[in-house]
Amino acid sequence: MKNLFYLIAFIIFGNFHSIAQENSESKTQLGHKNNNKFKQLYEEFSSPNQYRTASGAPGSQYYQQQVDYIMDLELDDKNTKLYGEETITYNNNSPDQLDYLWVQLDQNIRKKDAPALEKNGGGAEPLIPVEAFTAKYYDKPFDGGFNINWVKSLSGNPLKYIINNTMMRIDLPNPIKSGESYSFKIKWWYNINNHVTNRARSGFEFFPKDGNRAYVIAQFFPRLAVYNDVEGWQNYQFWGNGEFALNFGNYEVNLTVPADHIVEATGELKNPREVLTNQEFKRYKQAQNSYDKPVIIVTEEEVVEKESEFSNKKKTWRYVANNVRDFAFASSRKFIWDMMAVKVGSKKVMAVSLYPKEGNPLWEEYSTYAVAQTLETYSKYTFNYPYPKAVSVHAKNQGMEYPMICWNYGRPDEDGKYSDRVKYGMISVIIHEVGHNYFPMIVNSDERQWGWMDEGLDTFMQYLTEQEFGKNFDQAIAPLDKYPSRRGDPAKIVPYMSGNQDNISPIMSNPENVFQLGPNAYAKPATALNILRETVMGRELFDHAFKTYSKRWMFKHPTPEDFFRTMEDASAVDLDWFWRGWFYSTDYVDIGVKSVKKYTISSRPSPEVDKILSAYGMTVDDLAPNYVFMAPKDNDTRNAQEEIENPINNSVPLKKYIDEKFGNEALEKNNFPKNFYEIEFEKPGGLVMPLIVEYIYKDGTKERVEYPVQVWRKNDNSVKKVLATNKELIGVKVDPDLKTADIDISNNSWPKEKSSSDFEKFKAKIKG
Amino acid sequence: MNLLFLFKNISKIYLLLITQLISHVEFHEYYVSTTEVDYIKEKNLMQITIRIFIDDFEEIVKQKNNNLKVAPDSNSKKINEILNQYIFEKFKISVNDQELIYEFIGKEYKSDMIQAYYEAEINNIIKNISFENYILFDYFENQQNIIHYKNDKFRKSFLHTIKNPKFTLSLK
Repeated sequence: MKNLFYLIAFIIFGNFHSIAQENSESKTQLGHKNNNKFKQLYEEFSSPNQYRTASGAPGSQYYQQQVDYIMDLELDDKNTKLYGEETITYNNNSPDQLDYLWVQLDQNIRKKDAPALEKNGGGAEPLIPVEAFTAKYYDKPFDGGFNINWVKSLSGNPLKYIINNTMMRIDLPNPIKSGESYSFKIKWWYNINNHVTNRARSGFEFFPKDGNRAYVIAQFFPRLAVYNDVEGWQNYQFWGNGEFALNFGNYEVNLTVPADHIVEATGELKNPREVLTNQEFKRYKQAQNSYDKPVIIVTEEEVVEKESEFSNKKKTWRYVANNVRDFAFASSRKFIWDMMAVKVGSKKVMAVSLYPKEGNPLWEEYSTYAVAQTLETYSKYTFNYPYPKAVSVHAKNQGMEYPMICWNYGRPDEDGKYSDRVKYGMISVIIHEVGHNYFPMIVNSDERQWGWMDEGLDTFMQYLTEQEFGKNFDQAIAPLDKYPSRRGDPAKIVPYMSGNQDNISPIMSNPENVFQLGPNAYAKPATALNILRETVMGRELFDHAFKTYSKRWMFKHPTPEDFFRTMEDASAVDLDWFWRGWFYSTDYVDIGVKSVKKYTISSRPSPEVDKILSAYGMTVDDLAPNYVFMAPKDNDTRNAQEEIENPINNSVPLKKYIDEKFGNEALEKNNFPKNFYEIEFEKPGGLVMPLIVEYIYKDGTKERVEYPVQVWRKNDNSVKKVLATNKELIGVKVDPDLKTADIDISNNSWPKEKSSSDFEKFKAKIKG
Repeated sequence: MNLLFLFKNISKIYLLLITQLISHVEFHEYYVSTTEVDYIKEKNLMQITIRIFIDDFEEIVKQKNNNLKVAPDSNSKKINEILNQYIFEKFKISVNDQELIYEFIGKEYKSDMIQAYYEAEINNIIKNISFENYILFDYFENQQNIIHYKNDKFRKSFLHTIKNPKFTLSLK
């Protein structure tokens, strides 16, 4: 009888095959570690501590350093040089004593002998554009590194320093103790590069027609490296791809430029009266209360007049910025300037655009509105925009973000015409770069180490914002009914995730070491979050968790684990499997339907049961009389004699059970499911995903069933499910709406759908 | 592919977009085209679907004729001519060491991509197949072209870059 007990257990759990194997194979199997896809991420995550909690929030002892800057800058437009003198105050909020400080000299990546110039391997190009060829082999390298005049204490004593490539160590006369602060000064200058010919995030564009330059200047001053509980000093060199890790602080900047330049920068302009003409100032004031449309402060006509003047006088623009992680500015006499007020919560924020006439008519039409939409949508999903303004500056080929200000591409042809591609490219990049104010300017992740933490989250939010922009500005997107987002839609990541594994890195990789940063750090994490929101967690749970993360880490420095942990903590959805698969591996989704078998209730055991019984030396008579027999319907001839219309009648114990429990009437009504379909789903892909299935019935109805992702936890290759129904099943479709980024949909249907490639569809269409 | 021809073509480039090591620009900074080559044995057909970003395609068209507009096309016939001239030059398939002549079936725009369809008859057993893919290499230094080859038995992907424009696959 004990045998029988096990036998029944095996039948119930469907483990026939494993019995057979155990019986026939005596070979000892090797052991293994826990390779379960649902294993928790204890090994990947660092231990929670008093700085960062297991819930993903800042801990009781969380700290961050604060670094304040007072800077005098001068832009020498004629000689394309930038001069600066800065006083840095370092506030040591850490529990540690610091013997030296690390200062980032990002501009040193432009030194003529910078190692970054030689970071890539590669042989002779069989094919290379002439400009690239001469730049590589003939031209003298541009020397744009920092020239440090001096580093001094406040009292004027020189401080000892050493420069290692893009990092400068300042050896302190006395250690800075926990809770103390220390101020010192640096004087420096450098040659400004042309960012168009010598592609870079910062520099000038030269306009040969009028001889003017438009400057967009960033990561231009010696900035303190971050010291924290995770990295110690984050002094990973600047190699070009991994962007920035920066401290929050307060800035006072006096920026001296030619008198006819118009400037925008991080922070509030403190002396508009001094630097603007009377008329400009009047319009500037007027704009502060214009909520419906932008006010143009400097018009195109006024700019055209200025373009040939080249003033020899200077003006100093004064900016103050509080609680920002960086400072950047744009300056040119070519800039047209418009702005409008946007209500964010109870506060007013200025949405601002700055562009040379070459950007028109496109920029005047869309830029400031795109800024405003970004502030509205991002504020809704994260927190209210805390800064007083957000500026979008037009710079050729650029797409780069700084606190309150960013550079964006999107330029019409010389005759002022532009394609839809240019228009959407421009609106999208503005949304993306203004959106970076949230990630990483305020939710201040370490870009040097984790590109995806800001790019992925921002690209995800960009998708939501673009879709809202499309709804609010339907005129702008006509005749389309939906904004044409490039990223976010699951199907769009398939070509990348199904590509050659040799060229794919996990998202959790340093940006310097990934093969294709675009899909790796932007598109894939953005798509993953979109799938998380739409398919795995649902909007309500996701939105709350995402907002919780944003608010917890607003004006702080989160790590990937803080994000991963918070998303679980605030939702009660176990996501370790999701992070493990999507972020720590290069696995992809491929789930399909393998087979469908129909069963019915039978009076006798099927041959399958007979076989197992006989293996144990038993017959059907040895079984207790309380078992229901299920038999494959179509290939068992014995069923022919049995009742098909009401198969419950075939089973004595079942009939008796129902009769006793529900009465004879219920039995005669025959509403109990009589068709039992065993559907086997296969999973050739490495990623587990919720199993979204559409069952299609003969009567024309369809039913959606979503099996939880946990269905794969003990069956990584395939899993069987039984569908009990009164209807006749004629079709099964996995992931019918293409919501999971399944890379091969040829196995998604039963019966197998004939090749439905775009090619075949197109061919059928043109044949008519 | 004749290298000399390629070099001649480069001199025509009026716009150069170099994405150097310090590129961070979000402007679909991955210049990628995707081509699916499906060998359908029972029909003796090779079906080729080439996907290119519309704005990249726009560059190709503009260079030949600045007055044409794409997606929607201002002149489909002329634009198809430009497309085919370009594709036939830049994308070559050889089967059993013989260049395959393929035929234009049509094209359509899907979201931000153009999908161009080509077809060829294959009457022999395929012993080897090679792909040369120079699409957009004359525009973008960092262009990468992915080919997914598929027959009834297996699929294989190739990544073509300016330094590796040719791949050969031996079947048995």
